[in-house]
Amino acid sequence: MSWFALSGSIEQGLAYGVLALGVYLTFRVLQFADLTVDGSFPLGAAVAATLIVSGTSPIVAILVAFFAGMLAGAVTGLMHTKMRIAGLLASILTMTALYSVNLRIMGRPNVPLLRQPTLFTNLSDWGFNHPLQALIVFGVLVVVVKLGIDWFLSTEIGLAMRATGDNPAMIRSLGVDTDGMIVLGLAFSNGLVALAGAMMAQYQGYADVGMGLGTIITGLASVILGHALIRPSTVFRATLGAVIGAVLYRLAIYFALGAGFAPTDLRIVTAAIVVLALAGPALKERFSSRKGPTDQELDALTQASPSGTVSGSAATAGKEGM
Amino acid sequence: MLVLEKVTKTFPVGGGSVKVAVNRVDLTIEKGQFVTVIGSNGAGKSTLLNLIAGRYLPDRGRIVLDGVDITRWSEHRRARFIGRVFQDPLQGTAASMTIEENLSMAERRGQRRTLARGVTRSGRSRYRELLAPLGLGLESRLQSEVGLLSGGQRQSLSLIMATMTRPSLLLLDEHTAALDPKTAKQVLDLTTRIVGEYGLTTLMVTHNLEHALRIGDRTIMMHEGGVVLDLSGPERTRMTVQDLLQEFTRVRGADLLDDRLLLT
Repeated sequence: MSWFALSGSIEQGLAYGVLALGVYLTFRVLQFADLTVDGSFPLGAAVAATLIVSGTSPIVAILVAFFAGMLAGAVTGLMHTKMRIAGLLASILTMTALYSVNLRIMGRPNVPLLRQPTLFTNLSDWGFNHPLQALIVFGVLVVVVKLGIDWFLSTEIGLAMRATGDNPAMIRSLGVDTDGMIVLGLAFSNGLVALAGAMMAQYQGYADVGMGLGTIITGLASVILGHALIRPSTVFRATLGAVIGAVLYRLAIYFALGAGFAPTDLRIVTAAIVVLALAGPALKERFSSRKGPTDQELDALTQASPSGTVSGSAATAGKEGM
Repeated sequence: MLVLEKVTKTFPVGGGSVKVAVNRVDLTIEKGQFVTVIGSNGAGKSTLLNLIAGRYLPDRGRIVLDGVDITRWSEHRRARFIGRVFQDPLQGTAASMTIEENLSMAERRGQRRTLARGVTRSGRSRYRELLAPLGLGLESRLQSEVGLLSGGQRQSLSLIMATMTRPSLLLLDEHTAALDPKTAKQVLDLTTRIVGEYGLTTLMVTHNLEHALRIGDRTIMMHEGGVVLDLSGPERTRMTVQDLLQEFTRVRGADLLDDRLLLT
């Protein structure tokens, strides 16, 4: 365990922060479990690496990767909204298809970027050559993306997107095309994930067709971990939580490796963390000693709303909804 | 003015057969008219409102609002002209968002949404002015999450959101049925005040026969997907709840006893 390895974990954590922000947009804002990211992360890496190898500037390569990711997200969104395929399944279909797409783009399973110009070598050439270069680059990027999302989600379109996840019937009754919002949100989210993939490829020096496996779990673990520590009561706190969650998740892995876990065991550890976090509320209820309101509480409740008739009729009226 | 011409909607019920929920309804509602809609469960009241709002498209017939044929328009496109409050207070607002965010979304009803800031300073002062007359103290809680509000507060907010842009048509689908009697009365008073002040063309479904006769200026009764009674003017003024119950008996037959109308 060296400072070098530790700072590497923080660098990766910040890069994965961009990924976590993308996952936050779908999972928390749109309430959509989007597995497309397992394909769009390596898509971003594949596009960026292939373009760089063919002589494109790394910055242009990153931008193209972002748009490729947006396209992938839009495909999932259109399948879900226009073809009425369940969201989870639509995203699995895109993810599966992207595996072939990524191989096509790269022409082989792995594209090394050794001795190729990357964003990092470019910056060195331009005189920004600091031991903390990668840390600063990823840090600035993730802060810019975080503040950008905070801003976007406070705009008129952003509010409509949040309402689409919260209460689609309500926002439709206010004139918003919720299908369009879902497609836009998925596109934006996967653009960010592909951006993270493009950055990771340059950071680690290669793109690999298998590098996307478990991306969604990494993203979910980051968001859930972050939101367990920072209550996401506002968008600002929610995005902050996602980024901090991503860094802490990387650090947790770093220490898990230090504690003797084999790298191959990491995925099951991560999966277990996500299961526990998601099952939290259910487990709490099950093992809680309180099984319901006390007599006193029931008395108080029934006094507060004296008319059983009215609420009873409301309950039957709900069934009419045809 | 809202005009329905032979509007029909059926739903498949399995085994290849269909249920006729709304059956060739012809209805004209003049501008500024406040119509109450009654009828037992399954009479087609909610379906009728959903057809007008665009949640369902009719199998047959035409829907014309202020001279524009909106029959095939999507729900979100019609929303520009139609405000709506649902029965469930949870349905009309976004719980995880603040009061001011909800109001700002409603203020942009049917308009193109841009990347401009959603909640503005001038918006806040407009929202305070809208909320203050409710006497619920919401004007000083603009940044509270709507999920923290009570059912009555949420329904009052829904009503403000449905009416703040003065839509051509206001649809109220039993919007007080899920509230306790005291709160229901407050929300109903607010409804008549806003509708009167803005002169909104309104269609209100209710299960309360007294409300149906006392509020608004026209009452229609639905049964088996059709309009079976249409009261307005002196005829409506003379009508009592007892008379209405008798009308119900006449159209419904013997199964009235188990109907919850008797409870109200």
